[in-house]
Amino acid sequence: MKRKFGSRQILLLLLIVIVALLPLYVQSTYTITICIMTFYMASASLAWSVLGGLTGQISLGHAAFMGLGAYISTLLLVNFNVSPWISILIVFVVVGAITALLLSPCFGLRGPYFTLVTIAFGETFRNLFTNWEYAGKGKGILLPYGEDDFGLMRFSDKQSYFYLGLGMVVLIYIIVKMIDKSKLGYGLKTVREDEDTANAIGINPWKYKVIATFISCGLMAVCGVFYANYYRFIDPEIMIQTQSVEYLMPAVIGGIGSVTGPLLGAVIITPLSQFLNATLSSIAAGSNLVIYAVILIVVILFQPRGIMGWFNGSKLKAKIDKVFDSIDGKLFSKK
Amino acid sequence: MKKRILAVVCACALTVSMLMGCGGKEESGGSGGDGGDTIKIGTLYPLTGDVASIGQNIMRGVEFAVDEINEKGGIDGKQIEIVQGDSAGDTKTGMAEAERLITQENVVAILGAYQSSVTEVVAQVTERYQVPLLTAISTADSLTESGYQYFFRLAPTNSMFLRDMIQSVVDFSGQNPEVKAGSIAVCADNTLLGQETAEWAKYFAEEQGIEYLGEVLYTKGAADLSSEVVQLKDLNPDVLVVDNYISDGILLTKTMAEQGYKPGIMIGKATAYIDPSYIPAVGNACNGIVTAAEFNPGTKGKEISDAFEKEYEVAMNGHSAEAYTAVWVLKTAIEEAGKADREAIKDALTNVKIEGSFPGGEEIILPYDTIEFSNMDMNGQEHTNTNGGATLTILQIQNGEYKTVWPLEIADAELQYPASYE
Repeated sequence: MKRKFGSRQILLLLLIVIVALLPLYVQSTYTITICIMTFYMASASLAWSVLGGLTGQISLGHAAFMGLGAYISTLLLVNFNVSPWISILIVFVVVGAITALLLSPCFGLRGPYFTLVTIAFGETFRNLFTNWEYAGKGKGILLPYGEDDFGLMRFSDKQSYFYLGLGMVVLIYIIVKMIDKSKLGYGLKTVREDEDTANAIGINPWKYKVIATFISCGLMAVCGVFYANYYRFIDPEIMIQTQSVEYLMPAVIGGIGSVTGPLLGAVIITPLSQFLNATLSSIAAGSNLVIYAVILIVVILFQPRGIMGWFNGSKLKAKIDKVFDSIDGKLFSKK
Repeated sequence: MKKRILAVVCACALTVSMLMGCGGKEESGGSGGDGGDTIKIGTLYPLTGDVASIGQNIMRGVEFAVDEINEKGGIDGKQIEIVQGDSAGDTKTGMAEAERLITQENVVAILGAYQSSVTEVVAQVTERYQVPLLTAISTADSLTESGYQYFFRLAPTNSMFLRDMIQSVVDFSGQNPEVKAGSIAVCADNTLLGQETAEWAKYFAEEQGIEYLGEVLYTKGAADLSSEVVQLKDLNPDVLVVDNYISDGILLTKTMAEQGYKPGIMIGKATAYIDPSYIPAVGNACNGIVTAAEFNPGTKGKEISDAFEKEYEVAMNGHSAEAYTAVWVLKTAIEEAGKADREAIKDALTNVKIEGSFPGGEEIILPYDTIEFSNMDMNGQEHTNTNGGATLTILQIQNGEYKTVWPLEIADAELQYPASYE
């Protein structure tokens, strides 16, 4: 029997603690940089998976929604001196509401048609910001340079961003996990599996899609706040559609539809692609991409449901479950 | 039960403390690779991604210069070692690679980057680690407006491009009264660079008393430019200023030929119009088109560009010539610093002044004769560490070949006017 708080949760906490202590025993800033990048990609992919994974509505416009969050928080910071910490809440609500409103007439579209609409919206936003004088047009916005300031989310050391990123990924993971286990989550998954059946049993697909869009795009915008304050420079190119594919990739590798999938995918492919880039591109430029592509093809060909998709149905999981349950039994049994 | 939880916690603490014990070996000292047998210089250009061919062309210039310097005995007896970084044209990767070059590879200076957005982010990284960054290629004006102390720009800025382009047109019409230069319009892609081109074209046109008719902007990588050409026809400027990436430039030239649109002067801002693949792709339709160029193989550095072409079977162009020169500038600075130390190199770069030729006697192959990085006021904006003396040459394609037409003193051909496009 699974417990609410058992050995699995202890293990997860332990993992978080180990990762959180990483900067203490890894002094290489390059490693820390890769970690931060991984946290960011994992968060973005998790945010994407609420709509793309749980609800089954594949969006290729999420880079634009991320950019929207980055732009709103930066404009608020530059023009009105609003702290990014406050912006986190603002962009979650504003971007969530905007996207839910914009996409709500499109929920009648299914499969690739919906995906096409999200591409169109993404490109529209990108063009809007490319031509908008107030938002710096194509030049983008450089965030103000200066002394470290916690309130302005401005740090000169990597460690601060490391903990910020870790906090973000843990928070988003918990939110997505909670959705997954809630009534809302089951509703979303029902919509994903069969919209017509969902409708017939009293689950309004339209309503659930609106909620999923709100949460997914809102969380994506929160990632945007992190992006803007970490890289300290934003331009309309961050909204480009190829970036959206990058956010979807960890979910595909890790397993669309599972909550741990995007997280696992990001942890595997972000460091991998950076490692391949660093080691191989100086020997033969592009060879890193060949290897990366081969890995992707192999996964998609042999394991279309991703790593978690395979794991969830495997004997290995059953064995591990057994071990965990027995530990749980020993730990928490009341004599 | 409490005891068991306590045991678990203890075990965790033990594991963590063990892990902590085995780390902390990687980080190296702050000031860089002095003391080894080689001097490590990092490069950060897009070697993969959609602008990879440009990055690889840039790297040829870098390699060529490094080979030359190493053959001649290196820098104070030490060989230069290039550590390649690949920005992949992406800001996130660019930042990570810059940190790798600085903290893992321990380079003393970085050459890069290509796209202005990547350079903008990398400049912040190098500023924080106090590592000199020298860009040979990035032209966006805004880069040197932030007051960075460790960022140096060899390339002319966008405003310098437009300044020289408009000046050349004024000079043409001064020399030959038939050349009409009363109005100007811009056709460029809607990106940072295209927008800056339009902005500066307007600024310098108004300064010269030329009427600015407006700009026609399109989305980069356009599939069709017919309506843009129709708009240009409607504007009917005496001088058409264009700034396009290679595929768009080819498409624009072809569309103009189809629609029979022949502006008296069409002047390009390098990019597409000096790309090795441009002339073969459009054939005779390019005859008469004028373009700015950072480098002109006919006039200076002929020996070097010939040797370059022999080695790589590609002609040297603005990008490779600038990348080549940047290495020599850095070499000179390192020699003047006397040691491969980041701070000393930065100070040397701030003070370096190269006139005519480098200390070893090698000439500057770019169109200008002085290289120095100074803080200057340009069109009302404060710029730091910019090579203010940089100028450009203007070429015209005549019978499928580039001829120098400006500055008038070094021109090897007269401007063909009006452009024939056939």
